[in-house]
Amino acid sequence: MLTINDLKVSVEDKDILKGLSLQVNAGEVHAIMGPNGSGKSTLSHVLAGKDGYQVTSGSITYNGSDLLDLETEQRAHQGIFLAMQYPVELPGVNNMVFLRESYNAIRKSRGEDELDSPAFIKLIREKADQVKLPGKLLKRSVNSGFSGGEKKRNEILQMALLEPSLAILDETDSGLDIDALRIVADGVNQLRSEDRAMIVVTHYQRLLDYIKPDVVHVLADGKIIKTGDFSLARELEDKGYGWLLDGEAA
Amino acid sequence: MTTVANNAEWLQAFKAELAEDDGDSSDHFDHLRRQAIDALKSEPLPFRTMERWRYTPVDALFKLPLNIAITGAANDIEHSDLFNPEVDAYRFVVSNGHALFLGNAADLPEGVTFTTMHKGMQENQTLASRYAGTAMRHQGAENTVTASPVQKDSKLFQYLNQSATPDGVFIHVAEGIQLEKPVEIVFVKTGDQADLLQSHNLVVLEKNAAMTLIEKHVDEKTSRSFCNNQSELIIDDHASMKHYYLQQQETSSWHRDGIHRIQAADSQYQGWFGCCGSQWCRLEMNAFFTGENALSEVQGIQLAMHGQVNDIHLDMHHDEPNCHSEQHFRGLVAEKSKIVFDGNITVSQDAQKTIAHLSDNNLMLTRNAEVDAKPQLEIYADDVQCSHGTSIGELDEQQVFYLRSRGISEERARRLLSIGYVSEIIEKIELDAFRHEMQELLERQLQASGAKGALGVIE
Repeated sequence: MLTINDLKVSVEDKDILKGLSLQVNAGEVHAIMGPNGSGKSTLSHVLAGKDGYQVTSGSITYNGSDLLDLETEQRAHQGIFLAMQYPVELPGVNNMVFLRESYNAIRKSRGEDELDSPAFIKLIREKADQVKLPGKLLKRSVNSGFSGGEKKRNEILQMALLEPSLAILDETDSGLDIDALRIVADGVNQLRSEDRAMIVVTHYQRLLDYIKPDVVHVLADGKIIKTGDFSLARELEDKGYGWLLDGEAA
Repeated sequence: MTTVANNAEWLQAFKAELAEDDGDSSDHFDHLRRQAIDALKSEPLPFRTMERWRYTPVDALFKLPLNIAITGAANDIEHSDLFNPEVDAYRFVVSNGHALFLGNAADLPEGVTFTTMHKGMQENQTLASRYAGTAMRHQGAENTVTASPVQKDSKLFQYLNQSATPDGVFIHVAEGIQLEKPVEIVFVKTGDQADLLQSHNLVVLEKNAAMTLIEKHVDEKTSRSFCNNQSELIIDDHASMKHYYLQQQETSSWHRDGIHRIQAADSQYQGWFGCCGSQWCRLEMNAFFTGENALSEVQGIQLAMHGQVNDIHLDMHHDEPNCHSEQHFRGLVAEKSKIVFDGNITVSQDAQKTIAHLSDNNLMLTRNAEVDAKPQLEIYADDVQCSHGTSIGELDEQQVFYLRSRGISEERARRLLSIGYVSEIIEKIELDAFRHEMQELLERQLQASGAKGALGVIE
């Protein structure tokens, strides 16, 4: 589904990703762990098409086509979803309106009919119940005045609504209490299917206990330095990153 | 009717026509008119050396070849589609300067007078004479205003209006009457001739009276007309008024409106202003508290997207103690357009315990636009709570990215965020029908702008 080959990315002439390669197949859940500043968020942002990153070499192929050729909204149309680490507040933009615009924009791009308002309201209420987002937050401005946990739940709600084929969760677990963490994990687990892939970027093993990824990667200094199965996450939790980084240096 | 061109020639022709016109008005109106004619002779043209005109280009107006339609053209328009279908209102139309009440006077509650200024002068002369000109000529308390070597203002347009004794709407609500249905006035210019159109409107609420006023300014066709309006709102003790104002004329036209308001003790006024139309739109609001414990809340949006100039001048005079005023505006500006906001609050020496706040926030959607925001507080009392502030900013690219990452196009994302920016004002509009009308108008205007790339979409 997604093939990243020797990707090099810089921000304002500073090299962040230094030859990253990654293969994610449909049906798989990959976790990317790594210390601060290793390039985890950069990878997420580049996949979603955010401005401000220069891809200096390498390639990203998504379902057979060059992902870097696509605009941000086109990537969303093709089924890429990024749950953000810091979801922005959109004062004055009603959450329900936003969710419907998003849902219908993606349907329209696939040549499907837009969902009318009553049908959409029914759908979004179901999804909101699933992720335990209080109904009143649907009526407010997007993320405005939401608590940290509510913002993350709103991200998971969008993921549940848009049913992406590739979901990237960028440190969605940071700052969450155990209940909110479960909701995030449930959101991921419910979406798990044979034709869908997920990349879970995280600092901690905690979320992975609930998600149980198929593959775990360690990203350090712009490269994937180790790949393993779920037991690698456990090992990292016990030993930290130091032993890997030392190995790298040696 | 005379057609002239350039360098204020129409103004000269207008003045000449005034001299020949004997007028048929009553003594009071004749007096007002003669005063205005005298004043008009010596009043200088507005010019950018005057503080009140510093940021508002007006030269091109005097170069327009205007028809001096002092008496106004015939009233020949089908009105029904101009009104908001969601509102059950008493309806007036002011078409090409001719006012007409579209309902039946017999259906009105006793003590309510709905008529036109011209009819009012003849049929309700005592009432009309008692009030016409009072808000406009109200002087207020004398404050030691900073002496300025340059003249701060030109009242040319006010005198221009008064010297012609234009028609308009005349509403009088007697003591204790609370009108349940709103009054909706549509000001419409028909035809494509470049006319000078004027109106003078007078709304009087006696003690304990209440009403809702909706006014809408539209064009039937594009024309390079100049509408020069004047309204007086007189709100007596314990009376209250809600006022909805929507300016959405074609971007070919010119529009100036002077709204003069006096509020007596314990009165309340709430105004929502949507200034979106015309190539040049200037709203002058001049309000005075003449009694204690009065409240004024004025909110609005300014929109300038198609090379437009949108200009609001607001003067709130706190001359009495214990009054409260709120004034909050937001603006959207793009593509060689300009927003001017000049908001002044004056608190006289006696106006202790005044509460007054003013804010004006603007969003620049493209770089080639201009905002001149000038908030001003002049306080002569020593026990008051006052604040003012303005801001000018751009859309946050993080927000644009967030929406795009959810499949929403860049143009649509910018439109949603722009509307979001002014929605703080719009959401507070009490009357659902008016709020909907405003939202739809904004959507349309921004959609049209987006199509032309005025939302800053990088191709």
